[in-house]
Amino acid sequence: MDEIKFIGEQLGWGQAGNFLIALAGAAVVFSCLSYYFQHKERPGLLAWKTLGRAGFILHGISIFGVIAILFHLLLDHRFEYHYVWDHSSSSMEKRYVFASFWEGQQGSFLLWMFWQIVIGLVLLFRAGKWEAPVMIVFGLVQLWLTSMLWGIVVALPGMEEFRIGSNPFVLTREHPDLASFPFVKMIGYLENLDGQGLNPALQNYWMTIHPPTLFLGFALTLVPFAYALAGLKSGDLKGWVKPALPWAFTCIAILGLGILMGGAWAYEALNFGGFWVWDPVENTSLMPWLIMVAGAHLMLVFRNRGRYLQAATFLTVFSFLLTLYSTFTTRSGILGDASVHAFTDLGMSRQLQLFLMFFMWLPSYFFIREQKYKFAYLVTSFTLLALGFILEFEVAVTFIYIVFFLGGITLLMWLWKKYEPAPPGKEKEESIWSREFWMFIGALVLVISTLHLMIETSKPVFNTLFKTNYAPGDVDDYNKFQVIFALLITFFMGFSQFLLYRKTEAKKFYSRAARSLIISLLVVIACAIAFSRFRNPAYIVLTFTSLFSVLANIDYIIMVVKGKWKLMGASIAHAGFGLIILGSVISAGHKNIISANSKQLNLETLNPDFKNNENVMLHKGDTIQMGEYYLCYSGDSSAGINRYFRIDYFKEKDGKLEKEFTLFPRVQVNLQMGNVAEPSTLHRLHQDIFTHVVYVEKEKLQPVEVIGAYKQPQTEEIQESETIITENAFITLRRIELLEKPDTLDTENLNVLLRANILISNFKGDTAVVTPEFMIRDNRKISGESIDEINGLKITFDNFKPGMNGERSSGIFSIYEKAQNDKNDFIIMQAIIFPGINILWSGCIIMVIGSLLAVAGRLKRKA
Amino acid sequence: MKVTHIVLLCIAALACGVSYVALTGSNKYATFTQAEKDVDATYQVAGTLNKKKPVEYDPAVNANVFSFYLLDREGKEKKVLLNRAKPYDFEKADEIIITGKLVGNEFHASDILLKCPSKYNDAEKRQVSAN
Repeated sequence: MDEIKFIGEQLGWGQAGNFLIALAGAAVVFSCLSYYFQHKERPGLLAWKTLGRAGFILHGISIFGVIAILFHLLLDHRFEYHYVWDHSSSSMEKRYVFASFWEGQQGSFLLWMFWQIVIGLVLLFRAGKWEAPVMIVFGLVQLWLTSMLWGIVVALPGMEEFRIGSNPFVLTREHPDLASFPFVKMIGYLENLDGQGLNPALQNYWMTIHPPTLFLGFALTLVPFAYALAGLKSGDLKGWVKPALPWAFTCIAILGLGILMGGAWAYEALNFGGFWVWDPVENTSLMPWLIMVAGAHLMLVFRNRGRYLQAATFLTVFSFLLTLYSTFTTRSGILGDASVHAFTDLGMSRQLQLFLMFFMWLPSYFFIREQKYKFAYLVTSFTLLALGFILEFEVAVTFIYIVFFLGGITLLMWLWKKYEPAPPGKEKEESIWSREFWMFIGALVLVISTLHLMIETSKPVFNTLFKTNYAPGDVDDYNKFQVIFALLITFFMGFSQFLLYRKTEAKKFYSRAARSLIISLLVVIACAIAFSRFRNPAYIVLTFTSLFSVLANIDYIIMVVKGKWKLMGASIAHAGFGLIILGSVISAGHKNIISANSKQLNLETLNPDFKNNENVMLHKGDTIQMGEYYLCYSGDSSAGINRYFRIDYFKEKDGKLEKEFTLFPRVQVNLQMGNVAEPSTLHRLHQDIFTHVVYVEKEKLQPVEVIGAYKQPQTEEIQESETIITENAFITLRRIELLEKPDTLDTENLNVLLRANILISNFKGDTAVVTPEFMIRDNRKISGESIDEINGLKITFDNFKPGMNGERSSGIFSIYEKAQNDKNDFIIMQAIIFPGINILWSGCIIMVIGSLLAVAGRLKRKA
Repeated sequence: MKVTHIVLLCIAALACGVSYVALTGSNKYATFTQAEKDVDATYQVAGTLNKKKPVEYDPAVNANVFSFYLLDREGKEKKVLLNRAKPYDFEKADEIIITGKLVGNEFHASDILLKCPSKYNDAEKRQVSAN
């Protein structure tokens, strides 16, 4: 059969892209092999190192090329490519091109690879003697990620098809979801093809800045992991900590920022009704961060006191494994019912599972030094894999894999004792008066916090494995545990500042810590007395501990560090983290839903668990008291795909209502993917006032051809004393008055001014008079408008026909009607006051700055 | 190493405790039949909207409650009272997942998750109309 030539397709881009993907794969394999040979023949031939570098750089250039091509295709609206069709449309604004680039799985893998290449290029010149083993690990991760872009279907006889990757350059007409549609078989299908467009919830500047930051954070978890594996592989179990430490803290800063940006996005633009809702997607990005924080602090303890090296190594490894686990859960579709985030299964869950397992099994393989054990481990791994393929990855097989992983970890711990026996007689009683002891305990608390998140988010995985039916927990399920962990962590962060490494005198410690402790205790007691809403005991204690951690760290900066910037970073970061917890407990724990619903049917009579206080109905023009405010829904308007609702906030002053401010929550109308409501928030220094339209009648969201807030006008010629009937009103032209007579002698500069007197009455009998004017100035006709607020009408006076031979004069008028139906003129809205949320945001910024300062200080001190 | 050992034991106990409580205290996916067996437990029920029965939302009575009839995955039907405003595009959802308890013969839900149809379904329709 002959190939059909479709009109307008540019297939060269895809071919070039696929060539680059293949090249990227080959180059990174070449790089890994070269580095392997260099590493094996240490100190190594320089030539191998050069080849290794060349391979990695070539890999980088290829991936950058793939990214450039995909961007070009998106910007050029090449809808013959499925990725472009699926994630953009020709009407989409250019500034959302980044968002549509990483909306899909392939794009987000490319973004992840991009950052790892950038970091890898830095490491090529900074890693020194660690370069070869570190770059081998980088290469292996990059190879796995490149394979995610292949899009090859392997069909072995007698077995189910196995898909390797999903290709970003698949053609729309060849995509399995669309290939069966007849329209893609038409030669000219491309002419009328427009893309699906970007999900309206993602048409947002957060979608442009949040994913790159988060993925940079994820990419940074690889660096300490690569160093740790390099340590295991080379047998230098201690040396890797020093170069990995600054990377670990950079990762904490950036990943932390990325996660918090996600929270800010949820708060600002999505209708989560809060900053953090423990969605599985939020949790799975938080887990690697928590473990990285634990691991990095133990690395610090090791650098200062030579303890907990094994724990530091494990946690560093686990942090990266959790990044992979996060990718697996969010990308494989296994979360399904559990998340508001709709991640689709591209049929790659098996590949993702193997990706995760590969790196779960790798550390033990790297660590084994005896050739025969190494070989045995490798054979066992491959046997298990083969078993998996034969049994088509039955549940039992996954279970065996996990057991094998745990066995590998146990083996690693056992071998560690064998390879690096502890020096005899040096084991000493750990002092609870030492800083390292509490840092260790703190790390363990973080581990348990992660364990809890892991159990909660892994419920869908358990359900698949063990045929259980656990449903995801709600916010309260998370809070009741995580509040305790936050409480312990903030308390440790406060007092451990005043402990020294090794041993501290109790007296000195108490005298130093007392100041912050007493002040925070007094503040919390004062608040508990002053604010009647401040009553939840868990929140009171958490407020106390987090305030204490903030004050103690500030105290430490002033009294101990005395403004030496190189030493300040850690305390600033700790104070920032304390502020984050303080801000969350104040804003989320004491949020005040003011849109209470007191006059309506009391739902608590139906069910004591039901609440009346979330949503309230507001008719247009009505004013309802909410908290200290009076709210009025005073109108709505449209701009593009958005329908804005105008909510005026009034406050009572001297018995009169005075307008304070106006908010414009909106609904994005999207027939195809569903309408999306976006809240509007007034930010004040001490509190935010959040307003969200949760429901409007469907009619209000119908797309109407609108000019401003009016429908397309209808043009009418009306004689004096004539009445016409429109949809909602009777319109009578009573008379046309001549306000300025034409100067008949001067025909060159004709000047006329007319005023129409029009009576409008609606079917209810309300009447109004409008008086639009019409003028001619220097032969130019100028129409004037007049608005009838009662009936929502606007009339413009466009032209005039003088009455000849006793006939009545007439005017040409355009009649604009408001584009709405007043039957349904109400909205259901929520108004929530979040107190002190700025404490949280400033905490975020302070924590990031502090962490980066700590990294800079450490690098400076080293130099 | 005495103190460290005691602390490690405490931490291990805490870890076990957290795991145990997190799992046993968990909500469960269920059908209406299962939810009937234990009335006090909170369940998540997945199903589809019965489009032949009324979907009622009268904000003038109370804007915080909304009712509809859900057919669970076994096809059993119950009236659902949801303590929320009616979600946007409710009727378009392919599948509805509700969280709550059975009270008498009604299911009182505090939370809802809508699974919306794949965007591919509309692709051909739109292509035809474009032509």
